[in-house]
Amino acid sequence: MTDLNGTTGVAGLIAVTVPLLTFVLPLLTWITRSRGRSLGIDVPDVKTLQSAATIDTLVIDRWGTVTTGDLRVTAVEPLDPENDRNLRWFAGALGHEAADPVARAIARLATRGRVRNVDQHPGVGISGSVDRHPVRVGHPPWVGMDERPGLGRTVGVEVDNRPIGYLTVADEVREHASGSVVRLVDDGVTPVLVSDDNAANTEDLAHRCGIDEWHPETAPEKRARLVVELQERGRRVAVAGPRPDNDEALAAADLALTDATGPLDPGTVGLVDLDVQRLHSVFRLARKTSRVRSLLRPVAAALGLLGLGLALAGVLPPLAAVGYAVVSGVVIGALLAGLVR
Amino acid sequence: MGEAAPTPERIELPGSAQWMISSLEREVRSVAEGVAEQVRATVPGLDGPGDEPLRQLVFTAIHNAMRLFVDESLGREINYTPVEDLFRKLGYRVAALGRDEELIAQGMTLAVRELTSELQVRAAENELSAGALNAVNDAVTTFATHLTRQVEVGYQAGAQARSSDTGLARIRLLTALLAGADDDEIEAQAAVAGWEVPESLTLIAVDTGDEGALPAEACPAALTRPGRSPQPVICATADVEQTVAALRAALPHTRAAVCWPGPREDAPDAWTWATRALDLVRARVIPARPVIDCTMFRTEIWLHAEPVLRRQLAQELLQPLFTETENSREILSETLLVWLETRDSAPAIAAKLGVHPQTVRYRWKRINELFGDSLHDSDFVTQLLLVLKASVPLWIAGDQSDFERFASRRAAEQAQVEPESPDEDDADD
Repeated sequence: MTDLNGTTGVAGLIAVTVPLLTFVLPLLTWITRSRGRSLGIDVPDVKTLQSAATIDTLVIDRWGTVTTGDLRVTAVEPLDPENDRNLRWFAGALGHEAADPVARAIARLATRGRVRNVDQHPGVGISGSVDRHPVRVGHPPWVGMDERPGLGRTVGVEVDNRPIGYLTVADEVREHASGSVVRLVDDGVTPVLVSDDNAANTEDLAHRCGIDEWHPETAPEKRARLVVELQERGRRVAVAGPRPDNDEALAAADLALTDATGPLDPGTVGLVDLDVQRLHSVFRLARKTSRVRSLLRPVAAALGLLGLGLALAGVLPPLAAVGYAVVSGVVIGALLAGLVR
Repeated sequence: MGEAAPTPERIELPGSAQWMISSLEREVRSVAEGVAEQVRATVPGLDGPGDEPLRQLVFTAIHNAMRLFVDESLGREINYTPVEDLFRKLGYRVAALGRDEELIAQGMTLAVRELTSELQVRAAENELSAGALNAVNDAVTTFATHLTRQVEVGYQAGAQARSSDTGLARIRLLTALLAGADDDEIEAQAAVAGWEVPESLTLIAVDTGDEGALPAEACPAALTRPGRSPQPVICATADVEQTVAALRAALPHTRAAVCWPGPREDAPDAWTWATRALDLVRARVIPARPVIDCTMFRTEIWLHAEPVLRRQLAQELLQPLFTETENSREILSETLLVWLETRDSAPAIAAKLGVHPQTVRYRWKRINELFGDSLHDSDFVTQLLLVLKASVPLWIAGDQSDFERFASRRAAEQAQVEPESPDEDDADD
């Protein structure tokens, strides 16, 4: 009877434990990806996630990461105070006709208007006719105005061939940017800011976000070189930035974080956006997964061996073996549950 | 008017007859009035509803004839010609009116009988001898016969003109109407032309262009005068639609300006208004439609009545706008005009102009900068409204003359202000 009970217990335990051990890792992967999707993170494979757990440096492009990806108007300075609304209206109406970030920011000052004869002047500005008034918005000397020193980017506005004022636009920093940067650093990831903007604006942005290392006026082709230099200093480097400007840097990085849609290459994590908070979530998820993974195998093996020993010793009747298997499952589940917290 | 009869031999009366006639001298006018009244009462054919000019002519002829007869009887120097002309004119008028020649004969007979009767009364009062009275009667008969002959000559001429040249008569009538001729003249011409001048006329100016003149036969109900463009057409107001339709059928590609109806006295002005409407179409102030209803464009016709005054006012009042660029000038003047006309809010003006309200506020700021406190002067504002109302459509149509005039005047002023500076080398010397 005892033999029968012992044999049955061993058999039952094996029947429960073997599948448990067999499926625990795929289950971990499934849970990780599910959790990732709920956070707006698309992880192509476990290996990429394991790679993410080892990252210690994050190179972030300013567009869409610590900033919203948009600029905002920070100063409206009419030459004649009575022209404040006129300045906003004419520049804003013309701004709607262009797609660049400066124009998009200025467009928020006014509704759409009747705009004709729009011309883009690369590198200097935009011109057009708003309600039949000729309007130019652009680099101040281009519209016959003096340059304005200071943070942000300042453009001059001319209506009817007369300068009427200045508008300054600057990065729109995400509200939680500095908090997310702090959490990144706390998790062992050092952010490095790269920007196509000038030194003063880049430094100001870095300070506002709490980033200690920044690289202004970094053209796309220089970014890959920066990644390689960091790697040569022994850093495991991830790059977060929109395509296609950052394609070379993303290819050179140990981990690429991009908001591009479609099939992902190995070593690339897809994100719904590049919000620095979401970037932090990638690393937090990777590190948690890594921790759980490192615990899961020994715990599962120990539970299996312990149960097997108890069964062979005849102290684990069939009913108790089932109970043991359930307890083992709960322990494993608890470990996995740590991923979703 | 045909060949006039020779002047009759001078009347020779005995002294007693002259004395009797001299008693009549102071009463010639009242006697003439009585005779004329009797003629009107007895010959209804000369006393129709529209015959006032004819009645006046009858009286004038009788009065002048009696005056001539008295003067001649008293041995004074006389001239038959004016009286002969009057009687020929009388005959011509009666013929032109299409009346029977018999009416003239009746009238003359009646007048002679009335005058003879008057003389007989006075002869009895003056106890004139039978011989003297016979001499007077003979003189009257000779005198009346001569004048009757003048009437016949005039009648023949009138009848001939009436029967042989109605088209020319219609042209003369149209010319008389356009020239503002007096009622007598118009009545006479209307009678010859066989075209009854209605109470209300409508004048049409036809810009015949390359299509050639409008033939008179194309509009039988109207008067017209081919041969120049614009070609005038006058019709009764009741016949306007019919006339315009006939005109369009005859000259389908031509343009016509139809003036508003008016009395015949207004015909010269109506011609001015209608031709001005055509001018304004050419200046692109009035839309180029085949038929221009002048009633719809009274304001434009009125505003452009004094082009020189408009030009002077524009140079004076709109100077601030002339210093602006062409685009700015057009935009600001258009906005200013709408504001002056409506005094609406910025959103309402913006809706009218199809722009954003802030654009209107911006323009208003610019306008205030340009005109300053003048905009608070009601006289200035009224003049500004009128001159803008007249000028803006011209500018929009592409008329640059105001600005060119301003620019040349300014250049001349600057040339005067800047004296010729001597050559620097010369100054050093």
